[in-house]
Amino acid sequence: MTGVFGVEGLGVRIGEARILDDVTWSVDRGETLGIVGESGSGKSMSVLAATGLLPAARGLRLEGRSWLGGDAPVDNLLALDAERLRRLRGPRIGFVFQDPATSLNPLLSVERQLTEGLEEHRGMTRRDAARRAIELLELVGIPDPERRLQSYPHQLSGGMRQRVMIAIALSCDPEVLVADEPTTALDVTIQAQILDVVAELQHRLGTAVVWISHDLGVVGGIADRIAVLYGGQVVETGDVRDIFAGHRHPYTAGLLASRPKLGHRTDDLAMIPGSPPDPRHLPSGCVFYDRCTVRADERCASERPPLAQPSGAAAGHLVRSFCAEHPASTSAGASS
Amino acid sequence: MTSHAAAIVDAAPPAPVSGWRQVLDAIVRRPVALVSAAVLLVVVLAAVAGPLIAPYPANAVDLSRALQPPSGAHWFGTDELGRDVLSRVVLAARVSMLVSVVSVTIAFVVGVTLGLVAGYAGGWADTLAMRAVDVMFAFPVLLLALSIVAILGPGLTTAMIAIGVVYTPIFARVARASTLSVREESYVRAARGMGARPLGIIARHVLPNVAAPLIVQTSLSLAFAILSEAALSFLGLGVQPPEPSWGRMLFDARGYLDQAWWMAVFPGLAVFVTVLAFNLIGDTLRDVLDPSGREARR
Repeated sequence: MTGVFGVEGLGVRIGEARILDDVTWSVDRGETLGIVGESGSGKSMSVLAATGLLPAARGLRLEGRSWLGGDAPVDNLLALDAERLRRLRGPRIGFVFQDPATSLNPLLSVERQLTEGLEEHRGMTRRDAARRAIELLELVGIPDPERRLQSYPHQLSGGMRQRVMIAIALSCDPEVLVADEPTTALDVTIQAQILDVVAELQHRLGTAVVWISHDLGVVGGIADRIAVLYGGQVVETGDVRDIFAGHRHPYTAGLLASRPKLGHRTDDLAMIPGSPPDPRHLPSGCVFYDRCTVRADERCASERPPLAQPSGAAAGHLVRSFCAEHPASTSAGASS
Repeated sequence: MTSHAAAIVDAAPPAPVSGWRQVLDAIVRRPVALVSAAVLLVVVLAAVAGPLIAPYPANAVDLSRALQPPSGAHWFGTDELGRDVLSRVVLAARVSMLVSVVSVTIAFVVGVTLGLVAGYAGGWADTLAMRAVDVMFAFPVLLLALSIVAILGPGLTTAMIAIGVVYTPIFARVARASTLSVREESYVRAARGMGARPLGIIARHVLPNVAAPLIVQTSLSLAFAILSEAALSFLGLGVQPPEPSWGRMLFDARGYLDQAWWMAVFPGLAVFVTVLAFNLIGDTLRDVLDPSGREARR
């Protein structure tokens, strides 16, 4: 397995509910993987489960494995005890979460929160950590970092807070940065700034980025490869170009069709009718069957399609559909 | 407060407004709270510097002056042994404050630790701790304190331990309830994402954010602890005579209610005023520390 971080055959069950099923993805050094899906598709779940951050729940069961590559590979994170897993979070994997307004502790100064990981994992003294914290704030483009260090979260704007979060996540030089909808709570101009900051840091530091979003437009702009999740499964994965121009799965087609387009003033956006499947009662056939407008194969209703490379698709472009052999245009199920 | 100003990127960060400053301001602005604070200050002063303030020693027995009504020489009158009631009320403040502060400290440390760990860890540790707390809650406060004193024997130290144990569950419950909600906050998840130690997260992120209800509970518990101490002393299980204590003075006054009302009224007033002051301060703190009333937080 090449790359620095990934999951293989990852499954999460909570009692009867199948939250994730056979999810496989990986990300390489300097590369950005976009994980796309709607709410409840399991896109955040796969990362949280892979890093031991899932909240304890009755009847929680994990399958498959998650791994770290690089100089000190870890074969299966899921097999590690909580203490060893904890030591990997920060130095090996950094996280940026969705809401910058609540991801910072309101009662602690920026300095205290930035130096926490450095003192814990790098064994730095308070003073060394503070010096490093100033560099980090400079790195993410915060002006006047010496003074900002003493600020409290409520004194910062949303974009600044998210920059601080990125600085915290990168403070221990992780190989992987996991960004879980980091721009969803921000307005568009700030969103663009944050995207730029991450892209630039990635270029400079060679960090692998896992970018989780429901917004295919955002992911399309930043990702090298994309994994589309639906109903807890990867339904289509491939290079950005393959997904945008050569997508094969009806769900991907629906997602792309439902993006608002500049210059097309329409009263209602295209949408995919219906709602995601209940993880407790997944359909026995294709997970997208209930909402699919193609259903071109009699196995669609009864048999779970495998994740496979359709004929004529580029290498690494995998689709979980019996209808993937058709060109993308005819499977644009939800264009209205 | 200055959140819109801080939104401007180049603006210099305003000096952090300390939460304590806000609390002090709020107390000064409220007359009731100000008076309560003043009363508590007097009580604390009496507790610390009692021997310097009291006009007579606590045990200056003078049978020729027994049961004298309030007068210029003895503002609060004298008791059946001719001891000055004012002096004894002032000197007894030390015992009351000592017992309430020490016992509430015991209850706070044990209860909050239990509540934080149980609430953060969840699972069987939580169930175990909280069921134990439920069992303790099932006993009437005084009955539980009496049983502990019965086991350990009467005295000042025992009274502190007994009252401390009795008030531990309430702290555990308050700490756990707040921890359950703070545990789900994004900044706790973010700290876990950075690989912070569980105990570090509890100390650094959870405790400061559950402090407000705990501070309120502390002030209310101080009041109840004074009452409990008075009750134990009244029953002869707290401070042993001749050491003065408000509860013990009330007990001694029992036999002279029809001849010397001042023997009962003044120690009773001392208890009443002190407990009321703690309660009113507690109410003010509850109002002030309530996050919804805070401007600068979000």
